Amino acid sequence: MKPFALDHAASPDAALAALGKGATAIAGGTNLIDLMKLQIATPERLVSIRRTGLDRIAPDGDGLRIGALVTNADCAADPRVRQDWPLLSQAILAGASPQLRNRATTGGNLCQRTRCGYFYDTTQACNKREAGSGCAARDGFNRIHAVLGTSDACIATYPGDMAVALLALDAVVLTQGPYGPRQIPLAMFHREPGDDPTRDNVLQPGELITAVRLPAPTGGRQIYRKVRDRASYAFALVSVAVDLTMEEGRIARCALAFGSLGTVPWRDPAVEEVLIGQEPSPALFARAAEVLLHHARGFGANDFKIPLAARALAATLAQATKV
Amino acid sequence: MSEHPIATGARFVGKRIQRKEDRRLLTGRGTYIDDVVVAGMLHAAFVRSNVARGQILRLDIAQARALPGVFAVYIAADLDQLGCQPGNPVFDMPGCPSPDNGLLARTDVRFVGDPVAIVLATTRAIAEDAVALVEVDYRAEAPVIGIAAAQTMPPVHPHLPDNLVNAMDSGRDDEIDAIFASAAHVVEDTIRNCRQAHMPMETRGLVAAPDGTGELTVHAACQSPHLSALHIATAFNMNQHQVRVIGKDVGGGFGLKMSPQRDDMAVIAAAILAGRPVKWIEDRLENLIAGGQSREDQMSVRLAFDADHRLLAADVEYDCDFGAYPYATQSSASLVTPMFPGPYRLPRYRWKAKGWYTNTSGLVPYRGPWMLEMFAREAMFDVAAREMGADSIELRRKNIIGKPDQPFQTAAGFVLADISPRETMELAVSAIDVPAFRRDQAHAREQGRYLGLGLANGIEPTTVSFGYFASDMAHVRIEANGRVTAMTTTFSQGHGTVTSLAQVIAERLGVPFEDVTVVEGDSSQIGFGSGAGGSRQAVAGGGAAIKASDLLREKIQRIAAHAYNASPEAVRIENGVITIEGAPEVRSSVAEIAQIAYVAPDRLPHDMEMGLESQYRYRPPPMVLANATHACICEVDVETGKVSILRWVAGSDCGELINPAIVEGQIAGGVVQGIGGVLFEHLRYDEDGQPLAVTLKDYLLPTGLDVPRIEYQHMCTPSSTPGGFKGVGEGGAMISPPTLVNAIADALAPFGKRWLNMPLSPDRIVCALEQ
Ligand SMILES: Cc1cc2nc3c(=O)[nH]c(=O)nc-3n(C[C@H](O)[C@H](O)[C@H](O)COP(=O)(O)OP(=O)(O)OC[C@H]3O[C@@H](n4cnc5c(N)ncnc54)[C@H](O)[C@@H]3O)c2cc1C
Ligand code: SF4
Repeated sequence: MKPFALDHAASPDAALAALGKGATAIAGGTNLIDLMKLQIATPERLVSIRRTGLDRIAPDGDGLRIGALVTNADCAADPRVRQDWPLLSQAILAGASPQLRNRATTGGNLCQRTRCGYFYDTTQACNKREAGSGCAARDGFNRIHAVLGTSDACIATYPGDMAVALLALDAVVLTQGPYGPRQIPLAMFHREPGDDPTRDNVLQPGELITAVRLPAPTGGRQIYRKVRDRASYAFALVSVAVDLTMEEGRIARCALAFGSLGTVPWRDPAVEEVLIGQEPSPALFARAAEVLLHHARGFGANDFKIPLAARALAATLAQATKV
Repeated sequence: MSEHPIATGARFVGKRIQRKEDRRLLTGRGTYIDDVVVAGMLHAAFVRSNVARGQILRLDIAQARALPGVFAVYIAADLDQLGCQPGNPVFDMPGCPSPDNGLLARTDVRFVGDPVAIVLATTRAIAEDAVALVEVDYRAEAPVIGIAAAQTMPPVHPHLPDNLVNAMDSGRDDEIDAIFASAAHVVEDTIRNCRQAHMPMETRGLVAAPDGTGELTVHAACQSPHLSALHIATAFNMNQHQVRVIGKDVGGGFGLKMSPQRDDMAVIAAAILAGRPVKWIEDRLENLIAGGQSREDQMSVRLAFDADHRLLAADVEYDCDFGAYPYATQSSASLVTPMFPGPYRLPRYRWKAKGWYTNTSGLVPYRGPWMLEMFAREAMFDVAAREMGADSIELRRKNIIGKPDQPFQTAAGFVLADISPRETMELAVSAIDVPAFRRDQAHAREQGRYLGLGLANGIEPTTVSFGYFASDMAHVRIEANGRVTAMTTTFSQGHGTVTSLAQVIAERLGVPFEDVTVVEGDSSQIGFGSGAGGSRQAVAGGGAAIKASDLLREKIQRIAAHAYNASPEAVRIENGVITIEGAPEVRSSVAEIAQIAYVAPDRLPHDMEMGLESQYRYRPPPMVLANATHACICEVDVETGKVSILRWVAGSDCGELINPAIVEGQIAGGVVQGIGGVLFEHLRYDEDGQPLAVTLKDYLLPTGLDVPRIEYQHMCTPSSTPGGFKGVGEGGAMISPPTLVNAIADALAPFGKRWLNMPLSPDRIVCALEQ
C-alpha cells in the first residue's frame, strides 16, 4: 500500500469540498482498502465520509430515503425495508458476510468495482485498470464474466447484489456535486463498458452519492435468488430479482433484474413485456429467457451462465407465480 | 469393551476433557510466528517470478537495495555461497531425479511464484516496497501445465531427461487380462481430482536467529521441531546441536509444514548471511501460489466382477502432478496404489503409478495424500452398481471384509487386522435408515426434487513407522512437589496432544489430570521424534507416554513399598494418593514419594537411582489400521446445480479413544476439507501457467453454512499397541469426497451421467445436465 493522507468530513459540504480538491471518498473501506493494498487504487488523499450524517433512513412521501452511509446491515434489518421492500433486504443479506455488511455502505456498495481477477493482477492486461492495455479476460479464465452488455474492451460484471434489487424496485440515486444535485435512476447509474471501461458509473469527479430513494411499495411478491458456488460469502454466478403481482391467474405486473449476468445490473423491459398479462407456464418462462438471452454471448468459461440464467429465471418465476 | 484395563487410578482415557490449551488460544494468548519478536529482527519478502517458465535475462536489484530501511537484497549467487542442500532427507527417494536449482532461481524460473530474490528490511512493508523495485526481465517459454503436457513436453528441469519424477508398477501379469476378458462385468473410468491448497489459518513462516557461536535458533510454524531441526542441520551441514527449532503455537499444518521447504531454507540462509535474525511470514497470495499444492492426480480404474457381482480383478493407472519443486521426490501419494484394494476381497490386482514434474507450485503431502485410492475405488463401486443394476450397499456387502475374516492379506500384500469395515458399514447403514431414505427419495423425485445417498468405506493406514518415523519418545518426571511434567516428541498444530497425552499419563500414573503438564515443541528438549504427520501421535506418542509412565509408576511403587514395608504389588496409587493393600493405616502421596526420591536418598531402596523420572522411546508396529464408513444424504437443485448436504453419518473405528471430543474434531476437520474439495476448492492454472486462485475469493473454502452437523458413531476394536489406540487424523479428509460424490451421483442418477471430476460446482453440474 502507498502512503496516503486521511481527513474526516463532518458534513456533506465538507466532503464535497475535499472531493473538489481531488480527494477520494472512503466510506466503509471494504472495497477501496483492498484495492489500495494491491495498488490498483493509489489515492494520495482520502476523505472519510462516515461522519457526514448521511446515515439515516427516512420516509420520503410514500417511499423511503436511504442515506448513502447507511450500512448494508442496518438497511437489511430496517423494519420498513423488510416489510415493504423485502427484495432489498434479501439481496443485501445474500451478499458478503455479516462483518462486511456491518461496515459496507449503501453508496460504497453501488460503487464497488468488478471482481475480474485480471483487474486485480497488475502483471496482466486490463483496460479497466489501465486504458488501452488490452483485456486478458476475453481469452483467459472468464468463468465469472458477463454474457450481456460486453464490449471488445471489457467483459467484466458489476458483481454486487444490492443494486440488482434496487434496479427491480425502480430506485433513484441522489447525488451532490460541483454542478448541483442530480437524481439518477438506478437503470442509468452504471455504465456498460463500451470503449471506456475505466468508468463503472456515471458519477462525475467530485460527485457524492447522498442517498438512494425507493418509490412507493408495489405490494408485489418479491424474491431474490442468488446462484453461487457456496452457501454464503460468495459473489453471484447469476442472480435474479423479481417483484411481481398476480391478478386472476395472470401476471399483472412484473419487474425483473439480473446480477452477474451483464456488465451492469441488467434489466430488459422486453422480458417483462413477454410476461405481463400472461398465465404463468414453463413455456412462457422459457420464452422470457429466450428474449433475455437472445443477444447473450459467452467467452468460453462463462458459457454456462446462459443456460444457468435461463434455469434460474424459470425457477424464480415459478416460485413467484405459485398460488 | 477395552482389552486394556488399567490397574490404578481414575479413568481419564475415553473422557471428553476440555483441552488444556483452549482457554489460552481462544483468548488470544497464543504465540504464532508473527507474534515472535527477537531483538534486531529483520523482515523478509521474496521477489517471485510472474512467468511459469523462462530464462532470467536481467535482474537489477540496485534500486531496491538503495531504498531506506533495506538491509540486503540477496539473489541466488549470494545464497549459493552457503552450499545449502535443500533436498529432503526424509522423503527423497534414493535414485529419483530431483530438481537442481538452488534456494533461489539461478538462471531460469520454473513456476509462477518461483523465488528469484529475497529482500531483508526493517519492516515487512519496506521489504514489499523494495520487492516492487527489483527489476527482472524474463524470456518466457511455453510451460508444462498438466499431466498430459508433462508426458510430451521438454523437461521442467533442464538437466533431467524428461519430466518423470518416479514410476512404479506391480509387474507383468498376463493372467489378469484373461480375467478381464472373461468377466461377466467390466466397469471402467478415469477419476480426476483437482488441485487443492492445504490452507492452514496460519501460513508458512519462521524466525531464523543465528548467533555469534554458529548456532541457529529457528522459531518455526512446523509440524515437528525435531524433524525440522534435522532437515535444517542436514541442509546446512551443521551439527544437530547447533540447530534449535522452537514451535510454540501453530495455526494448522495439514502436511504443509512437515519439513522446511525451499523458501524457508532461503530465509535461514539469508539470516546466516546477514548475521541478523530474520522473520518471514508468508501472505495469503504467496501461500496460494508458492506454498505447495496437492490432489492434482488422476486414476484410471478398471474393475472386473463375476455374474454374482463378486470382485475378480482391478487394474489401475495412477498419475500425479508433482509441480516443479515438490516437497520430496517421493510422496506419501505412493500409498495410493498399495491402498487401493481397501477393505475388499480383491483376488487379482495390477497397478502402475507415475509422478510428473510440471511448471506449477510443488506437491506437498496434504491430509491423506493417498486419498485418491479411496475416492476412485468407492466412486467406481457406485458406478459399477448402477451399471450392473445392483444396489451399491449390497455390492459392498458381497465383497467387504469383516472382523471374522481377519487377519486378511490384501491383493497389494498388506495384512488387515484389528479392523471392522463390515461392522462400521452396517453401523452407518442402520444409522441412515436406508429403506426410509429410499421412500423419501422416490417421493421427492415425484415433486422434482433430487435427493441422493452416498456411502464410502475406507481403511486409514496410521502411524506408518519407517525411517525417521519409526519411534517417538516421552520423558516423564514427577517434580519434587509431586506435579508431573512430561516432555514428548509429539507436536500439536491444533491436535490437542498436550491434553490427550496428559490424560494418558495421569491415568497410568494415578495422579490428578490437572497435575500433569505436557511440554512439546522444542528440538533441544529430549531426543528425536517426528511429531505430527501420518496420523501417528496418539499411537506413537501415546505408546511412549504409557511406557514411560509405567516405568515411573513401578518406581513409585517400589519406593512406597520400601518406605512402608510392603510389597510393590500391594501399593495402590489413586488420584495422587498412595495406599497399601492390607495396611489401611498407611496413607501417603505421590508428592511425599517425590520428596523421598529427590531429597531423602536414605529412604530409597539402596540400589535405586535418585529422582523420579523416566524416559521411553517407543517403537510402534509398522502400521496401525483404522477404518470408517461415512454416509451422507444430499439434495441437488437441478435448476441451479447447487448441492446441499442434509445429513452426514461418520461411523468409525479408531480403537480406544483417548478424548472423543478431540477425535471427533479430527474427523470433522477432515470431512469439511473433503467437502471443500468436492464442491469448491480448486487451485486452477491457465494454459500459460498463471495461477487463477490467488485470493480467498477465488479459492473458496466451505463456510459454516456449507457443512452439515456430523453424527458420530464410534466402534472400538483396539489395536495391538499398549493403549489400544489408532490414528484418526487423515481418514475424514479421504473418505468424505467419495461419500459426497456418491450422494450427488445417486441424486442425479435419473439423468444417467457420471459425476467423477472435481470440483462439482454449480456451473459444472448445470453444464452436464444441459448436455
Ligand atoms: C470478501 C468480500 C465479499 C463480498 N461479497 C459481496 C457480495 O456477495 N455481494 C455484494 O453485493 N457485495 C459483496 N462485497 C462487496 C461489498 O458489499 C462492498 O465492498 C461494499 O458494499 C462497499 O462499501 P464500502 O462502504 O465499504 O465502500 P468503500 O470501499 O468505502 O468505497 C468503495 C468505492 O465507492 C466510493 N464511494 C463510497 N461511498 C461513496 C459515496 N457516498 N459517493 C461516491 N462514492 C462513494 C469510494 O470512493 C470507492 O471508490 C464483498 C466484499 C468483500 C471484501
Ligand atoms: S474484463 Fe474488464 S476488468 Fe477484466 S481484464 Fe478485461 S478489461 Fe479488465
